[in-house]
Amino acid sequence: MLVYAGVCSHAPGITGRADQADPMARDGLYRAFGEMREAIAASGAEALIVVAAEHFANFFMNNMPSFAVGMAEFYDGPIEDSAWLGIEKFRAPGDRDLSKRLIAEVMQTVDLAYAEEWKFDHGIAVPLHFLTPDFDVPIVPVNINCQGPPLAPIARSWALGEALRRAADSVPERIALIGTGGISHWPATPDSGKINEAWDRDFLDRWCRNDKAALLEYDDATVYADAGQGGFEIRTFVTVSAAASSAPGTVHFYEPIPIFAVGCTTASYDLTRPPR
Amino acid sequence: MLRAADEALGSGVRQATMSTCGGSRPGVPRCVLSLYYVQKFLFELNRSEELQTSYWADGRAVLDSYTLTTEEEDALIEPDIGLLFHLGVNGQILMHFAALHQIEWQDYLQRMRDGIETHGPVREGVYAVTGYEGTHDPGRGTGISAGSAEEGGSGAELAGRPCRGPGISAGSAEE
Repeated sequence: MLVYAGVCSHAPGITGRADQADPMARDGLYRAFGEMREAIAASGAEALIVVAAEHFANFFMNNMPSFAVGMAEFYDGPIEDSAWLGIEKFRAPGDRDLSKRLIAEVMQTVDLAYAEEWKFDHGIAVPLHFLTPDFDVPIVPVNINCQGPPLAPIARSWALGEALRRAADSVPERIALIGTGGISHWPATPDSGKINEAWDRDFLDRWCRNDKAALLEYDDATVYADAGQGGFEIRTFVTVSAAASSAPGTVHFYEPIPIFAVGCTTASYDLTRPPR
Repeated sequence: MLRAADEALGSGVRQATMSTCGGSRPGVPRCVLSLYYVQKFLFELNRSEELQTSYWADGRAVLDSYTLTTEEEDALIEPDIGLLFHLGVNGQILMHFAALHQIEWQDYLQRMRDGIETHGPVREGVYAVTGYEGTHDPGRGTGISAGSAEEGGSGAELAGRPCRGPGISAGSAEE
């Protein structure tokens, strides 16, 4: 059963360049991550699905899946240098049996790849650093190709979210679901630090209203022009919207932090309230 | 040789594909362009400590098994971050290569800008859709701000603003 649905940022600078950020902004974000951790714990979650947009850590253009789900007993990370990312090497627990059951249900409507080996990069390692610092909750990683075009249309990410919701509701375990990604950003390029705040706010407005039609209006050409190649990662947020099934959303924190290269965000849907 | 480039985004993203490039192997022609293999080498280097050890020991020998042009091979040995970015290497791959070489973050960004200044717009890959002018201008483009922390205020002040209505959330706005 799905008991929590939210989204957060995952930029490597959040941990790797923390000392270069405005302290007030950084601390505000860290508090928001702390509140998100408490909310997930309060939901009684027994497993955490992380919908991520990994950055060529496991998947490459020699065999790039649009969607992939982890099916392993453990996951090592971070793949990045620990000093560079500011996160020590770890082994996060998985749950192969749970993954297998979730995958089987998702496959009823959405084709995907599965992986029994998966190294977490910052796209998952940064959120886990804040949300499950003790690695006491099994992780089910889900990846959406947001890096190597051609990318699956955003509508397919919505379909994935619907399938994940159906799958989560089909198992007895209490499941938390988070999507991690950037909104507008130009990561790891000469324009790193540029953030289209107006575009972000419009997107988050659509996300909070969980307006399917408005969320599916985006296409990659306009997203690239307005929100950079990092904007392709809105797919992870849209997947969570679909999984939340019209529940209303709340943005708990949003602030552009240029040294983190993204408008840092935490937000969640209220699954206890009836769909609007 | 080089096959026709594909339209990856439908708006100009080009991915070069290769068929008969031969690296430095005798009797096999060099590639004209092989972004895919440059990125594949970096992808494998980023995730393999064993390959990193081999790269440090004899980089040229490691690169010999990849189908690369002389220009690309030299850039990977130098390392020439600016040229690699110009050639189209994705920053999500390139930034780890820079970190491997102990290149500090701001220096990494500057090297990419210098590369564009020296060599011209990004040649291939996802960034070739619009290209970078080679100048860091966070404010360029209508409605796009640098989004400085100073402008943004505290997170507490901003929480909930993206949602419509007077309340914090879309849900509460309807109450």
